[in-house]
Amino acid sequence: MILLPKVVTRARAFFRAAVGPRKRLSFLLAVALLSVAVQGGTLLHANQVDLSVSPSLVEVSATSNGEATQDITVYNDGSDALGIEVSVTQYKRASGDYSAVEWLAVEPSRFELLPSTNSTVTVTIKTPVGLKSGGRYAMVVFRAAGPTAAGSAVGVAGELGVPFLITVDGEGPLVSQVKMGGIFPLLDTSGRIGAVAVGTNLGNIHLFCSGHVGVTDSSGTAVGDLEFTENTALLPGMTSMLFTGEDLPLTEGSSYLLKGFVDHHNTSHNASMEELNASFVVKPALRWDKLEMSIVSNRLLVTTDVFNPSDMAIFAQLRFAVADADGNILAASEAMPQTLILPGTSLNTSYPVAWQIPRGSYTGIAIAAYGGGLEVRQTVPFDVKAGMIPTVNAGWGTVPVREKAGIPAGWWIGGGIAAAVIAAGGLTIWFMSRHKGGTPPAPASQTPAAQE
Amino acid sequence: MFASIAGQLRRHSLVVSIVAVLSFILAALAILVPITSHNVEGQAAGTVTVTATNNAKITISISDATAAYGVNVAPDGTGTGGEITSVTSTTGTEGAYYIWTPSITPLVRVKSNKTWNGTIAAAENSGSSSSMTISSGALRYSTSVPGTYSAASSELAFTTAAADWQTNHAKGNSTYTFYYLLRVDWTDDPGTFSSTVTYSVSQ
Repeated sequence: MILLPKVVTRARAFFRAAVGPRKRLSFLLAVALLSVAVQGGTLLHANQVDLSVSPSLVEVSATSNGEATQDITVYNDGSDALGIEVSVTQYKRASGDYSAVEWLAVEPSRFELLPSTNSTVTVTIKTPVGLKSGGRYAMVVFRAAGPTAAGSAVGVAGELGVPFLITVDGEGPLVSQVKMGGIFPLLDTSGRIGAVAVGTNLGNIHLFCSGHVGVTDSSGTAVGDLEFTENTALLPGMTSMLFTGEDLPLTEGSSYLLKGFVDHHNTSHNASMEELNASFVVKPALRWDKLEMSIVSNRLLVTTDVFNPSDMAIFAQLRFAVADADGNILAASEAMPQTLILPGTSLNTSYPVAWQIPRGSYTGIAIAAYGGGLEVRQTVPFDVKAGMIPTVNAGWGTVPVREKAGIPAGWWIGGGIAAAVIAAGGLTIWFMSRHKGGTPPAPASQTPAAQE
Repeated sequence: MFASIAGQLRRHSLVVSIVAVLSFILAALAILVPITSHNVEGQAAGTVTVTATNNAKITISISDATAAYGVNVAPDGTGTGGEITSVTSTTGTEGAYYIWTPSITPLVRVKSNKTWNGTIAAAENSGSSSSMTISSGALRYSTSVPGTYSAASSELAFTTAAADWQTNHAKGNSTYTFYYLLRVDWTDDPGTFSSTVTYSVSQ
């Protein structure tokens, strides 16, 4: 008699109880067909995806020419069967010499996972010969996708990545070194103040950074203590920011001192601690140093330079608009994603805009909002010499100015002729003024910040 | 009869002999194979020590894995069917945005007991309309339902390259609801739009 594992015998008993003898053959055929479909054909797609893995992070110490295996269990926590695809991909930006993608192999790479069940894959790690010391990185990714539908449809897929953080002890030393670029108070969008620390990994192995920061007022009285949220692995050559998960309602105009402690560590190396200090006054400010509206490739390009003259790092959100000569807003953007501007630095950006704007003179408006209700504006005049008709609608929205204004097309032709006459007149006046020894009018320049 | 019995015995002996020889060969193979395998592994002189963080856990849940826009999407905004909840359209040269709302919210839930990162990417359109592409911004997402075409076209566009979605997000239970905005313009080629949006998370 062949001895079956307990799981198999229980499954057989369940099968006999659940399925009558006449239906057994068709049931077996269905299972066989499903198995064939999973192994060689299209995976099932679920309406809902609930996926988890264990372990979700793997650290490996290795030397050249070694081999080991690691099992990873993937769980279907939902009520739909999931088709799982497993692959090995790059982790973060670890490419080239920092990549271990070629060292990892996973088996099996495709399988079906019934509801409330799990399956285990085996990851084999093989290191080649002649390795230099340092970190190598890859990620094993489990993917489950939604079904397709008739007509136009978008499937939604979920992926869980299990990073493999490999520290190779080979030729040369292992270097654990983080250069902290400073600690700064951080004004968040609610107007409260936390802290941010900036660190760059100058070593050749990955590190995790964590720590805390104490805040005291000018009399030395402790105001609060904030924890930094530990970062994910900081890979060699990368810069990362540590943010506190909490913030404090500090008083505007008052002085404070930040005293931060940041440690960096991994499983191969002991933690090293670094102390960082920063004194500051709660006086938030942003300043527009540049705002340009130019026409590039038949499209409006907004170029900005927002400077942070304060002691604090500031999260800012930019918005833009275009107004006509009467001050009517013709087109306006939504708020852009929040961007962090460190003290003494500028946010230099260029945004292509797909607004459809006929020829004419306009005013560009830019607003930087920050600190829970503060904002600083900037305006700049600009001309559109030829009507812009974008070929694609990438970027921002298009607003049909002509129709929105409700002006008949004939008026535009007349307006164009009038503008040409005015321009010709202006040119004549300018020409005459030069002959009289006068100077031409100064080019359009940025107006001072309306509010700071 | 005896000859028949003797013949059967000879055949039986022959069968027994063959079985014995085969058993011997199989036994020899069973011994040799592990030795050979061991030799291959033995060539690897280095060491690899794995430290798995077994108590680290991360999960991803997607409540509605298909955004169906149906078979009638058109630039005049008259398309119906599928799972479209609202349409914004203009009377200008632009067409319409078809807005999909997930049937169950939140759309995405991530639970992690360590800091995590997330990216979002969308595969390029594999449908039959050649002009409705991810790279041209035909598919966007928002956290609220935009009321106008202009507002919809201000929302973030999906990209084919994985874009950072969450960086060093604090551990815990995080939920997100996104609305998918499919643009159908008068300049677009007729046909279907098909893509897959992928939410990828790791610690």
